[in-house]
Amino acid sequence: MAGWTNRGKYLALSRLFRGGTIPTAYYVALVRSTVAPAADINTLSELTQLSTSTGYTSGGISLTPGATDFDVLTEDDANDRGLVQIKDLVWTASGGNLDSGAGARYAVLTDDNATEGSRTVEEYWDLTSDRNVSDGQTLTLQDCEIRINES
Amino acid sequence: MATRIVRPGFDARSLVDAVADDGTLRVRLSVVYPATIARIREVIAAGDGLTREQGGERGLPAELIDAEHRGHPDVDPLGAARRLRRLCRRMPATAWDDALLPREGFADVKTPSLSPDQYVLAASADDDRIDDRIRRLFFRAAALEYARLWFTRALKNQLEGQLTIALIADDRGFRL
Repeated sequence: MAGWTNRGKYLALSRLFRGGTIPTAYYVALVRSTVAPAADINTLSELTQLSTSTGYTSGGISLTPGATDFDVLTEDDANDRGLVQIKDLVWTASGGNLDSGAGARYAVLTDDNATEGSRTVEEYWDLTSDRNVSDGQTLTLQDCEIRINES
Repeated sequence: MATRIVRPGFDARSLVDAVADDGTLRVRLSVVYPATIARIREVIAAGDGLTREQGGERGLPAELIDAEHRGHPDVDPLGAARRLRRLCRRMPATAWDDALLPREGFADVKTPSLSPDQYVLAASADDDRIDDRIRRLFFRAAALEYARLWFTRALKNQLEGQLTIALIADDRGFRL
């Protein structure tokens, strides 16, 4: 599954209607299947990121709010929803497999809290299977979308 | 709209109905889905040999190739074309037929909000409890979502790379 965490929903409403602070940057981090992200996950420390010595930087890839990094915004009147797409993200394995474990099963969007483990997980995507790549190969995320639906 | 590249084969920009004052591209589902699904079928039928006359480049649908390589240097400019073609190829042919049929003719249940890959996984699950009507509904949803992503990617490559799109529900039959 993919979706908002409850904390992410709360923060979105806070930013929209209470003047809550929009992060200077968001991050997309890759996590293993050890703990599956779900609606009630709060922080990155609750999940297990990939190992960091062979191409994956702890905390993930930084995204700046705006049309460059969130490059497609869609209003869908057929399905009563809004969607925003994230630009293509790439990790390149260098010096070994990208992860020393089974690889990435989920991607998560976090805020930019200075303490990495305290970063709020706002959105998550299931990559549907463990993804690992060997030295020199790339792992690319395409068409990751954040949706707001009428239920 | 500033055009960067005009490609033969599939001109996503020609499917845009209007441009609003704020730059939002307004597109009608009754135009976009049939045209994009026809293109996907053409690409599937061509196998690995999509010709230049068919809008191919290195056998891939040219409209999905980021020829200007605007992304991160490590992003393969052919990657999106390969991926979307592969995902569309694994769909049953009937899903593309079903995608063009009105939603009212399918199972009368709410379609969950999933990614297209997850619709395919759910529809393909080896589970006797899943009704064939639900499998068909999920494959149809995946086909519509892949078509939307195909169109969006093509439009993004053809224009400046940043889009605001309004999908106008001129035909509610195209809902998931």
